[in-house]
Order: sequence, then structure tokens, then C-alpha cells
Amino acid sequence: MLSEEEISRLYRVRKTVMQMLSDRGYLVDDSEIEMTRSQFVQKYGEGMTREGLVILKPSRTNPSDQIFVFFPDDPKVGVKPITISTKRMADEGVRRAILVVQQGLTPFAKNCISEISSKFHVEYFLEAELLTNIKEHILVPQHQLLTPEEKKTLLQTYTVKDTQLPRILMNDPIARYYGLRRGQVVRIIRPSETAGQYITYRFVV
Amino acid sequence: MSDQSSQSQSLTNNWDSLQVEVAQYINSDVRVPLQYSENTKPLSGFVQRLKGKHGRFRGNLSGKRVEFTGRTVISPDPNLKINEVAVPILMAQILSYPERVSHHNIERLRQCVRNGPTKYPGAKFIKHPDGTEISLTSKVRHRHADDLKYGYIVCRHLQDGDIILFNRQPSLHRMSIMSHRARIMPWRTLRFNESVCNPYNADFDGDEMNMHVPQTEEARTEALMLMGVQNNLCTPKNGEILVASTQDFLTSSYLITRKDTFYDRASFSLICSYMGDAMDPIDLPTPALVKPVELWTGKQLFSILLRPHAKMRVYVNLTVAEKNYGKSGETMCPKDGFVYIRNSELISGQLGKATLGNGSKDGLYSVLLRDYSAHAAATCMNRLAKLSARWIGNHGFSIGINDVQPGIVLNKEKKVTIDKGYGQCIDYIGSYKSGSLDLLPGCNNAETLEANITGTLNNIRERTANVCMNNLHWRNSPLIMSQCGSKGSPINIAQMVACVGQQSVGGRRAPNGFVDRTLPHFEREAKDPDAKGFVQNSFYTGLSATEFFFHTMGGREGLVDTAVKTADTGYMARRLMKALEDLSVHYDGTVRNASVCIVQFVYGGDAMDPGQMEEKSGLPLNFERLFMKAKATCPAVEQKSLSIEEIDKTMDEIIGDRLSESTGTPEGESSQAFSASSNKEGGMETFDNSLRKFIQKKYPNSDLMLKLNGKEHPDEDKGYLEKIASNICGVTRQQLMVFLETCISRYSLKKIEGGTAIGAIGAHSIGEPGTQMTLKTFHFAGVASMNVTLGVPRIKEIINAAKKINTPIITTALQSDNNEIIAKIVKGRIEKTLLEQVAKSIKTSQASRSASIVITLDMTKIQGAHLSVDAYTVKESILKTKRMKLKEQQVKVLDHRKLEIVMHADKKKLQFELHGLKNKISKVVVKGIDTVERAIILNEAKEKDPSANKKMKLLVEGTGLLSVMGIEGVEGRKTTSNHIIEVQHTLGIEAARKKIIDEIQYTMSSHGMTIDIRHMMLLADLMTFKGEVLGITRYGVQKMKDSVLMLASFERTSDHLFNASAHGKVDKIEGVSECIIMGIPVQIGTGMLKVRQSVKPIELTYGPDPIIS
Amino acid sequence: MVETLFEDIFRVDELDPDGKKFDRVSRISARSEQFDMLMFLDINTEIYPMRTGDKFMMVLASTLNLDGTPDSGYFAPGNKKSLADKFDYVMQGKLYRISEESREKQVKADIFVSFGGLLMQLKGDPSIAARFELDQKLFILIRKV
Repeated sequence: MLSEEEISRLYRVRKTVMQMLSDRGYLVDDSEIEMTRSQFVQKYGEGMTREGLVILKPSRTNPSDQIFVFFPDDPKVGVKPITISTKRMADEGVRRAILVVQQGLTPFAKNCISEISSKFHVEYFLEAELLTNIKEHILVPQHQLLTPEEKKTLLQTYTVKDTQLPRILMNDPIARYYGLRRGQVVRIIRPSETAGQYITYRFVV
Repeated sequence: MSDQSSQSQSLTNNWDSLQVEVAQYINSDVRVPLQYSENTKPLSGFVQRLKGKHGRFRGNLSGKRVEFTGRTVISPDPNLKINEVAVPILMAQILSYPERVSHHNIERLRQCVRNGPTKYPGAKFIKHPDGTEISLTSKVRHRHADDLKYGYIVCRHLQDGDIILFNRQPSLHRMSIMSHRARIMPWRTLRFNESVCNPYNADFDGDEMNMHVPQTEEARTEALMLMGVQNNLCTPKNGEILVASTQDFLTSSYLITRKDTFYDRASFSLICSYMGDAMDPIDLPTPALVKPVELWTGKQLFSILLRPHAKMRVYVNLTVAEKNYGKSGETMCPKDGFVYIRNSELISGQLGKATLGNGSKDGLYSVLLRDYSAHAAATCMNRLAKLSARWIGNHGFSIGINDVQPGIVLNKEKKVTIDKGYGQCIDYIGSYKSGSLDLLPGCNNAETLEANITGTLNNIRERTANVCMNNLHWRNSPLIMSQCGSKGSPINIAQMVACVGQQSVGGRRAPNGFVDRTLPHFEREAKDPDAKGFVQNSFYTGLSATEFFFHTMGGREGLVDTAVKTADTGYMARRLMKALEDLSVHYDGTVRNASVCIVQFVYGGDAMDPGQMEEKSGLPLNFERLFMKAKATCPAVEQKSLSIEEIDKTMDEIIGDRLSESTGTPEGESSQAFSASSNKEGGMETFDNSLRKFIQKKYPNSDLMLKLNGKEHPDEDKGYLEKIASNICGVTRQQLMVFLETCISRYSLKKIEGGTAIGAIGAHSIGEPGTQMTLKTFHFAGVASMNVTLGVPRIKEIINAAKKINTPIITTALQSDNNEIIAKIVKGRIEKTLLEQVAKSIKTSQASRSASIVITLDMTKIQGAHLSVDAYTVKESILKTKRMKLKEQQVKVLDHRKLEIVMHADKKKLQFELHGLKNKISKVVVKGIDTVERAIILNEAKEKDPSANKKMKLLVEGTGLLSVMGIEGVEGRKTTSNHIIEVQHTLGIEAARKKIIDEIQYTMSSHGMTIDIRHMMLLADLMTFKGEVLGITRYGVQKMKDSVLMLASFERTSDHLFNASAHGKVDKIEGVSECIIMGIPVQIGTGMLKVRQSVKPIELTYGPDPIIS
Repeated sequence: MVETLFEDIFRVDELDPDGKKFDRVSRISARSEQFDMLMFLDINTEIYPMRTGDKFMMVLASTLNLDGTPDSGYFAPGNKKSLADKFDYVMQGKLYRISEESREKQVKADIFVSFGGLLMQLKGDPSIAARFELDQKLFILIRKV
């Protein structure tokens, strides 16, 4: 049984997750993002559990590319929920998943994720990180992922190697939000006091 | 057997001591076991030779001793031009310049050779093309003089007009070394125009300065073009003018331009002749007063100074509000504080620092420099220097005891004010003791008292100061100096004449040095003004013993602070310089470091040169002034003013033309979808838009015009109305064209040049103001009790990217910011509340085998603070708390306000553990975030206006941005922290970058310093371009740079060298430090380009060119 | 006779309305009889004292030459006959600003002249302002009546 407070938390987390999936290019219906709290309570009913919130969304461009979002029940997630999740992923042929955990992962669980990383790409977020959508924060400018062609043109225009571009870490909150991988380049469009708008790029390492 | 063992014993001993010797040979600081360190001879190992300020790297490789230098005491000379330095003959005879003999100079050099090294102007050596060098000390020099041939090099004495570099330590910015022209003069000091004191930060109380003589034509040219005083009138820090009139020049200008200075023909002509040594042609204007007597005013004198004769085509147009401007009436200001110069004619205003001094952007010299040339500004400064020095020499200006004697009115007024203020303070103390003081938000009783008393006492000083200033005669010298801005402030005068005021130590009133009191002269716990360091005497009346002591306390703090701060800022400047030295603008507009990694794609976002920005806030142009100039310089003779539609049309034509030009370039087309130039054009587009917006603001909007358009008018009426309207606010086509064209052409000239060492400039621009920051280390962040670190300590925190900062504050926005109750609820959710704060009682009871703690909650208190806490939530928080070791069964909820904790343990331990548990329990956080200290509600709306909507936000002291953002009721998207590392961890690298800029800017601006935002952008970009926030410290710099030599010359020399040799590192010698160490030209600025074409050596023919070839 | 740009008789209302700031110069505020103009004028009271209630005739002209030839701009003193002969106090200056002020549908025009730093503000009906041009050289001639 979840308390009112927790329902509110989960509602906010779920909303951010939906926005995040949409921003990453997965097919998410607007109604799911705009869902109000009462609709949320209605949908998942009285006996709401975290496990029940599980989300599966296909990519907008390639419907076979799907992503799972799991909400494990345990406050501190160990290896067991991960193996269950990966089993489910394997069953449904999904390669990517996001774990939304309450307090964190045990060190074993972290190991486990990196071990299976060749087969399944599993990311994890803390609930606290998803309460507010940091992408919408006033300090955070707009980020866009470049396609490989765009990246090539960029490097040619400035005659640089990708390592000579400014960088963004893979564990940067924004990079995690977009699920960026090493070697990708993001375009960042900042509002600028001097020029109105300023475009910069960052190479993900 | 024993022999053998003793042998091996001695062998190991010797082996060890050999080890020690070798280790010490390399590093004498190495820790040595005690038995080997008997011989305490002071040896210095290799490492010691290399490291430290006087080691090889910093002492001999990064900075080297040079020849052709001089150093002596400096003194002022207003008769010199601003780009001249008077060099003593003695010095000129030692310093020499190798001049190549040619057709043009052979006779002069021959004479020099004949004069020899001891007679000025002479020569020291002759160098032949084959390399032989002949000293000219002997008498044979006459023969050498006769034998002088083209192509020989004569090392002659320094002569008038030679280029020298002039420098004063500490060299904090690039204007600390500038190139001047030498003037050889008798006597023994180096002299220069006082106007140039500012960039060097020099005064003449015994300062010494250095000079260097560049030895090749190439070096001279570069020095002249890049380092000449005329090319460095502005600081690249923010584009303000730095070389400008100071001190006496301001005083005399102020006195000359007083409204009631009149001169008759003789004296007016004489003063006119002062400004150009009577050598310049001057057109005498019509006297302002024609009848009954011909009289010229001082303002006319200044019009002549700006434009001596009609052939001079300098038309200055500017308006400046001086210090004593009465805030209304513009030119008609009764105190004459509004300076208006129209077409080089001084219309109104008494000139002072705002117009003539440094640190302004729309002063006279700035305008001359921007609208005309550096030369125009420089000659104007020269003229003013000569005029002022001579005028004030005749006029006389001095200060005496009668200047600081208070009048009767002041004495009376002062007594009344002080009595009243003291009465108020005693009232405050009374209510403090009885506990009936109205508490200020977030303060306790004592803090409120302090705040109130400090406020009252400061008020006393201010009021007496005002009375004092109002009652001084206008001829009072300190008053004149403070009003024109040459020296001293109203506070200084008030301290001399009226009242010295409160002395403070560390931002508080004088602390208690004795038990509960400041000095034994006062009672214990005395809080009254006198006992806590309020000085009611003035310097004129003299301080009492206790007052004097308090004054020295304040004075000492100032001294200590400056001493400590110089070391701090010096080190900070060095680190900044090392981190930023290799950043330069490349020809594709990007800012890159030595290993060509991109730091910024376009410098500052718009590729503008910060040193050339004309607008106060850092925008490229001051449209308002340029528009005024265009209107004043193009009189609307016979031209009709344009209607709104016509203006729009002209504007579109001109701006449109330019846009088509810029997109016509090949690069614009080639990179359409993904243009590298999109950034560059972005800047241009913003500029165009701002230009359009400005013009739209300037549409004719006269009421007469409206009347004209609105109603039918008889024809003759219409004619005159139109004429007036156009005189008031009309714009002719020519004026508009001139305005737009100057704006556009000037904008494109303000682009930063390729090769600029913008990193070094940025480091200077941030490092130099640090030295000027005074001891204002704290500041109230809106509420009296909430302090933020400021000044050098804060800058240090930001630049070091410190993990732990002094005053972390999370500025929290609320989802509904107009409801006080909701604000309080949210505050309760955030603020850390301990169990002991909400518990009515925590009781222990003990039986033989078990014990229990019963906690009763204080529900009235809980509801009062809008907390949602009851026994159930308390139970949860107890169980959540780490290291409590309680099981769920042990905590029992009795009812919603009571709970019981049961313990089972040994009888022996029970008592002990019970108390331990009780202590722990009382510290359990029942509500809020445990990293937060406290939160304060801040109402941003104007307090005077109660009807206005409230605008609440919370200031949260402490860390935990992520948790605060997640609290319900908090607008997480607008909540920020001043802790940069935390921002990086919760919001990402880009947010951290923005925060670095904001925080530096906030700190600088709260000290009244303006720094162009582009410098801070560059610093922030450098700190974040590796993906994580790197501090400008040894750790951060190590991650930013690749070069071993650079790192070795920075800090921890030996570690870097050992490491590099162990790993076989390669240094490509690309950066600035490496190049300096290796003694090769740096790849920045003029060294960025190399000519790759082989050119046949040109054969120079000496002698006159043949007339017919 | 030479064309003058403006002529009227003024009465001094007040001396130094904002308090005395300068030893030798006072600002007078005066009102005209004929055109109901309001004038502020800085006058060198050391050589030409003024008192409240004084009446004086004020003329604005663009030249002092009696034949009306425009002023050359250069100052050439001499014993030529000029317009100034009939007046006690003459100043020369430049018109630097024309502005307007509207109050209750009444539009008033101001002209501002600087006589080498001694300022004049003349407020009145716009039709009078129409006679003046920006940057015009002006002479102010005063005679007490």
C-alpha cells in the first residue's frame, strides 16, 4: 500500500520518464505526458504498486527498437530484480531498459548491469532525480543529438578531431537524461547575452 | 664469523648511506632516517635547483635577465605628451640602440661616434657587417667616425623619439607595460604625464619604474603598434578609458568651467596660449558677454581646447551627468551638473571626473577615441594637461585648517542628531533587555539589536555628513576635490569636519577584548554606542582615548586585510594566467588552446572585442549617443524630415543591403544546413534587430506632430508646425543614413582580430580587479541574517571549483509564490527539524530488564510551524535514521502524538545505552532535508506597496539542491544553488557553466566592478570544456594541459618531470610557457603566421634613388 | 532697421529660484508682457545687477550689424555702429535645443540657448519657436525700462 505522498512522487517520476522517452525519440502519446494526477490514480487504481507501472515503448523511427522502464519495489535494488527484468527483456526481445530505483543499487547490482551490458543496455535513475525534469530547468539550455552525417560535417567545417571538441561526460545528468553514448556529439543551443543565441557542440566521453 | 657479520653490517650501513647521499643529491628535502642525517651541511639537490620561484624553471627559464634596461624613481611632468617618457641623460648614455648606417643618418651617426660614450649624444660601439665590434672609448674613434660606411651598425646613445618599453610592477594587466617615446632630459628621474598614472597604477611617493629598449626595428615597430600608449587608452577589461585626466587636471577643469569664471581679452588669450605653448593657431571666439564689457567664459575656453581652430574637424557630441547633477532639468540643472557638448562647443555643465576622468564610457576622451582617433584623444589630453598645470599654478590651490573647521550650524545640528541617535539606541537596548524587541526575519534577539543599532549609528554619520556638506563654502578645497572627483569622498570630508562614525572590525562593531566588554573604561555587557566603537568626534576636534583605540582597531584590520589579500590575489592571478595563457582566437573565429582543442566556437558568442565595446552594459555601440551625434553634425538645412514610413524604408534599404552582402560570401552558401557561420551571423542578426528597435523608439513622436496629423489646419499654420516638429524630433534622410552607416561600419570594425591572445587578456581582466577588492567579505542576500561570501574569498571558491563552500545558498522558487502560508508549509518541508524541536517531552523509564523512552509531541508547535508530523511519521524517520539499530517492533505508536521505544539489554548496560539512545533520538530529523541548515522566506515585491502581489521565494542555507528541487510545492525548474559543483552534479555541465558566469558577475558587480561578460564566458568555458568543472588549481590545470614543461613551470615541478621521464612523454612545444622556456616565438598574435614563400633577398641600394632609371 | 527675431518686455519674478549657487552669476526667472513667455536666464550680476521686480526689454537677434548682414562668426571688435549701442547688456550664444511640453492640450515650445555656459530657457507659444533654427547664433540684448 502506497501513501498519498508516494503516489504523488510516482506520478511526478512517471511524467518525467514519459517526457524523457519522448525526448529520446520513443513513441509516447501526448496524453500520457499530460496525464493529471487524478487520471494517474484512476489508471493504476487502488492497489498501486511500483512494479505495476512498468512501461514499454517503441522507437519512433524503428518500431522494433523498444525500451522498458522498470520500477522495482525494493528500496535498495539487488541482483534479483535485475535478473527478473533481463529475463523479461530477453522474452520480449528488448535490448534497452531503464531502472527507476528508490534509494540506489547494491554494488553487486551495478556489477551485474555492467556484466550484461554487451547484451542489454540498462540504465538506472534514482526517483529523486526524476521528480523534476532537469531538461526544463532555467539553467539548462537545449541539447540536440547530432546524426553521424552531421557530426562529420561539423568536424570538417572546423577541421578538428572529435576529441578536440568540448566534452560532456557520459554520467552528466543531461547526458543520462538523453541516454547518450560515447562518441556521439550533441549540439547545444544556449541563449546568449551577447549574441541572442549561441550554438556549441559537445563530444560525449 | 662475527667478523663477517660486522663486515656485512658495515656494508649495509654504507649501502644505506650511499642511498641517502644519492637521494639527497637529487632531492635534498627527501626524508632521511635519523642516523644518516648527522651532517647538516646545507646542500641543495637537483630538485631544489629546479623548483620554486627562484628555481631554474620560474627564475631562469620563464623569466630571464635582460640587457638594455633601466630603473629609477618616477616623477610627474605635465608638459610631456602622454606617450612620452623623460629619460635622464645619465641613463641615455648607458642604454644604446644599434642603428644601421644609411644615407640618411650617416652624418648624425658620425657625430655620435666622434662624441664617444661619455658625451651625449654619443655612441658606445661600432659593429661591422663581418661581426667585429669596436669599442669607442679610445681616442681612435675619430678615425672610426671618418671610416663609417653604409651598412655598419652604430650602438648610439638613446635619443629623443626612440621607442622604449615602460613598466611598473606588479604587472597585473597588459597596460602595465606600454611603449613610449623617449625624451632625453637632465636630472635623475623618469618622468611622464600624470594622465598615464592610471594604467601603471603609479603615484610619485617614491615609486620606481623600469624601462627597456627594444633593439631591432621589428621589435620597435611591434612595440609601437601593439603596446603604444595611444593604442592602449582603453582597457580590454570592459572598454572603459584608462588613460585620462587625473587629480589636478580635474580640479582645474572643474574650476575653469564654473559658471561664474569670466576672463577679459588679455587673460583669455593668455590662457589659450597655455594649452599649446602658444604655438598652435587659435580662432578667438566671440565673447559670451559683448556689453557692457567684453568677457569670455571658462566654458568657451574649453570649447577652444576641444577645437582650437576652424580647420580642425573634430565635432564632439556628448551628454554626461556629473556627480552634482540634480537629477532633473538636464542642461538647466541649477548646480550646472549636466555636461552637454554639442559640435565641440561646451553648452553647459561643470566638467569633472565623469567627463574627463578614467573609468567611464561616455566621457570626453572615450567619445574622441571612438568617434575620431586615439590621436585626437591624446592631443586633447596633452592640451588639457598643459592648460591645467599652468592655470592651477597661477590660480593656486591649497588646503588649510580653516577648510575643516565646522560652522556653528553644523555643531548645533550634530549635537541634536547625535543625542537623538543615542536616545534611540538606548531605547533599543532597553527593549532588548526586557525582551520586547521586534525581531527581524531570521534574526535572534541579539542580532536584531545589533542590526538596529548599526542602522541608527550609520544614520547619524550620514545625517551629519549631509549637513556638513551643505554648509561648506564652495571655495572649500576638500569640497571642490570631492565634487569634481579628483580626490576624496564626502565621507572623508565629513570625517574631518563633522563626525568619524562607527568603527568596525570584521563587519561588526568593536568586539570584546576584555571580559564582556571592549575596554575597561566601560561597564560589563555595555552595548551603548560609545562602548562599542562609535566615534562622535571629528578628526578636527580630536578623538578621545577610547575612540582613538577603536579607530586603530578598524585601521589595523584594513592593513592586515590588504597585506593578506595581495598574496592571495597574486597567486590567483598567476593560476589564472597559467590556465588561460594559450587560448587565442583563430582565424575561423574559434577560441582554441595550444593543442587546438576548441574552447569556444565563437568568442563571447558574438566575436566582439571587449575592449571596444562602447555601451555601458557591454553592447557594441551606444546608439543613443551616435544618433545624437548624427543629428548634431548633419544640420537639417532645407531638408525635410522623414515620416515613419520613409524611415522604415530607408532602414530596410541600408540594413538589407548589408545582409545580402554578407550572405553572398562563399562560406555562407557552402555550409547552409549546418553552417559554421550560423553563430557569427547570429551576432550580426541580433545587432541588426537591436538597431531596428532603436530606430523604432526614435520615431517622431512629438505632440505637435500628432496635432499636425490629426486635424485640419490652415496652410500657413501647418508650415510652422511642421518646422517646429522637425526641429524637435525630426530625422532627415541624410541624418538617418549617416547614423545607420556609422553604426554598421563601426560594428564590423569591432570584431575581434584573429590571433588575439584573448585568454591572457581574460586572465588579466579577472585577476586585476581582484587586487582592488576591498574588505567587504560579506553581504546580505536580501535578508539581514543571510550572508553570502563575497570578495576575493568568493572569487577563489568559484575559480577553484571548491567542493565545500562557505555559504551555500539554494534560491528556491515556489509553485505559488503569492501565498505566505504555502510558503511557510514548504519552508517546513525543507528546513531540518529535529525531534527535540517538536517534542514536548522525551521521558525515560526503566524496569529491571527493560527500559523505554516515551516521546510526546507538541502538536500546537507542529501545527504552528505548518509541519505535517505525527507519531507515525516520527516512527518512520526514526527507523530510517542510520546507526540507530532499532527494530520496527521496538518502536510503538501509542496514539498520534505519543510513541514509545522499548529496549532490551543487560542490566549493566541498560542505563548507559538508554541515555545514549535518548541523545540520539532527540537528534533524529523528523522533517526536512538534513543537509539544510535553515530556510528564510523572502518577499521580493516592494515592501512599501502592500497592495502589490507578493512574490515569495525561499532562501535555503545549505546544500542538497536535488532534494530541494524534489520537495512538493517547490518550482524545481527555477531553483538554483550558488554551489557550482552541486549544480554540475544535479543539472549538468552546461548549467554549471552558466552558474560560473553568473556567480563571478554577481561577486564583481557587488563590489562595483564591471567586467565584460565575454571574459567570464571564456573562463567558464575553459573550466567546463573537459566535461567536468575543473578548478584553476594544480589539479584542474593538470587535466586541461598536455605539456609537461608548462606544468613543470607551474607547480610541483619535480613530480611532473619524474613522471614525464618515467613515461617517456613528448612535449610538442606549442603553448606559451613552453615556447618561452625554449626561447622560440609563441604561436599567438603576430607569431601565429609564417611566410612559406621563399623570397630572393632584396638588394638594398643605399644612396638616393636614381631620378631616371 | 535690422530684423530681430524676438522682442518683448519682461519683468523679473524671482532671482535664483533654486537658491544661489554662484557668486557672480544669478539665474532670473522672468515673464513677458506681450507674448506671455516664461524665461530663465543666467546673468552676470556682478557687472549687470538685477533685482526682483525689474522690468527690462529683451531682444533676440541673429546679428548685431545694423544693415542686417549675417554675422560672420568671427569676432571683429571695432567702433562700428551696431545694434548693441542701444542696449546695456549683450550676450552672444548658440541655440542648442528646441523642445516641447504639453499640459492639458496646451502645447508649449521651449528654446534653449547657451551663452558660453550662461543658459537661457524661453518657454511660450510654438509659433514663436518657429522663427528659430537649431545651431543658430543668437545675440541677446537687454535694456532696463
